[in-house]
Amino acid sequence: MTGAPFLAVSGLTKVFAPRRTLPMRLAGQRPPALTAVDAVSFTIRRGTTYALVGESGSGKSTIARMVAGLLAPTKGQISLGGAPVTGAGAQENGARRRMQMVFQDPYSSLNPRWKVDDIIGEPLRGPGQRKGRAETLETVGQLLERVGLHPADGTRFPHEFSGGQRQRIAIARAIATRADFIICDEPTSALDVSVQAQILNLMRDLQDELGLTYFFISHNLAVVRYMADDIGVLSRGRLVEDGPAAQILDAPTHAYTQSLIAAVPTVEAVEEADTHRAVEEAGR
Amino acid sequence: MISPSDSAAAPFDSPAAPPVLGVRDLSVTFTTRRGALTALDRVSFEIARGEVLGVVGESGAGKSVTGAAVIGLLAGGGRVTGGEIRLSGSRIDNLNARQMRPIRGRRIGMVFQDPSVSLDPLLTIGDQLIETIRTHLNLDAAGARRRAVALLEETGIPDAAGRLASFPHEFSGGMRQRVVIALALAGEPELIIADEPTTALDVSVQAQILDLLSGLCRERRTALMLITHDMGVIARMADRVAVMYAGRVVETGPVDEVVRRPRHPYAKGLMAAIPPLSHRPERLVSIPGAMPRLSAIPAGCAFHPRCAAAVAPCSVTRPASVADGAVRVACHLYGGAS
Repeated sequence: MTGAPFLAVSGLTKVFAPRRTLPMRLAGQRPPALTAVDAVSFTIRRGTTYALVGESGSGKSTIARMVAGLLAPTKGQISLGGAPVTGAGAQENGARRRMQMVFQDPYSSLNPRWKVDDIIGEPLRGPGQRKGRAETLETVGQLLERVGLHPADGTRFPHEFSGGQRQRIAIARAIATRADFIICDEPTSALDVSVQAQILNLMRDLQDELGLTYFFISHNLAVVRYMADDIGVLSRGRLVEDGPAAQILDAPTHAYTQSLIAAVPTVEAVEEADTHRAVEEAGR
Repeated sequence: MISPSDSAAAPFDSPAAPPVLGVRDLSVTFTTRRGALTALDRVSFEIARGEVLGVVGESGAGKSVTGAAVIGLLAGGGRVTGGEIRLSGSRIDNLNARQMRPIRGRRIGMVFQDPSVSLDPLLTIGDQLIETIRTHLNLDAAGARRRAVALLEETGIPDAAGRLASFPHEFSGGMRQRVVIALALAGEPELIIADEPTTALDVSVQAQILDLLSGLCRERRTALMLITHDMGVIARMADRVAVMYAGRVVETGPVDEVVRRPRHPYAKGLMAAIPPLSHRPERLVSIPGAMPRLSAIPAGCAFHPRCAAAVAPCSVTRPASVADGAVRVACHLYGGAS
């Protein structure tokens, strides 16, 4: 775990050009372009967790998709371990092979017609991987145990598992290829709070054990506080503030971050003082 | 909008009159191809006038079924198989669909998670509000229109009169939920049932909607049953809370009591599993396992297989609800066997 940047994002910009409809064409008009991500720069140190927070439409998922190489940036550079993720040569240099994604919805991110063994084993049988069937199954069994499931679960289908167990399967798939950079897009927002705690603890354990670097996308500031070393706050496509987690959450300097933190309903509010009614009066 | 400044606690009635909502030993069964499933098992709670009761629990706990049973909208073969529901003293669980219709909307308002469920996409906001007002209140068209504008103004819709002609899709998610709240208030109900009213919204909009809803209810002294999975929302909004697990109420009490000192091991686990915003704990406490399926509710206390504090009777007898200070808890550790 060194302090050198592992992922580096600089000047990342994404402009979407809305479709030109027929009436617009007839009138000779162009729809205004939409800047979803505007000159965003940040770095992630190896073995740490960087969380991007913001409300819906702030551009966090667009950034995640560009970092994953699923969407081409309009401008800007992304590199992982010094190798470019986008542009010419990105396919060959292996930067993308080091990254994996864990998505929000464990119900739609796993192929319902595949057994768990195949879901987790598939990336192990990709190009450059020379593993036999038996060897693959053994690795899958170890991965299942590592995420808190049983090797025998591999013969079952996704629908036979609860939401939390499915997210464990998705995590096992992400670490199967020994990827060391995991993009987590709202990985626990579809889960119940007691199950969320299990998954977050598992993710932290795996990070310690395997030295993983997490790029964590979330709207939940409390979850981010538990997971992140550093936080970037995104508003309307711009990074308004970024820095160490404790600093951002305890002493935010930007007004947007302050309002975001103040808006979170917490149980601690009750523990501190009976202020919730006052807050309510002030809100009217 | 949000500034935790000086406090002014809103007083509410001493509960001498019958509660606005009294639910007693309510059981609900769903008939499925695989047999009868008990979704609610002897659920009891009360909501007084002007009071906000938070109903909290994880998926499958039965909180939404409880709300649906109260408004007589149990779907998919669900029916009340025991207990009673009283609205301001009179029973409503044994009414037929025709008798229930004037109660729903008029005496019980509803706010659901997804505003597009409550709004007809093909009718303007004005049409929907005016129709609802005229159904429930004895007003002429002009009076109903004035009342619709007033309601929209109260729920914070700018240019209310001008927005009557707008369709639901022309509003943002937060604004749409304001319209839904206006609709829920249109019949001047005694009780509002809000099922995850802000779960689909961003956190800053959520805070506004929660404050609006509880403010309007307190002003009108409307009882509010707030169903949510988010303990933070309960802590901010509710006076009292009922914690549900596997179709049962395991703990009820004043919100600060339950938050500060939960009694039931499940309530303790639930509180400990919430990541705090103010600091980073070494580790989150998680409850092992998951909520049981309705087809396999454990005998005795439904929580006992996941409970670290379980004792011998827990797997045999279901604990009765007993008082511990201002809190009622259904757990053998608190003498629930008596």
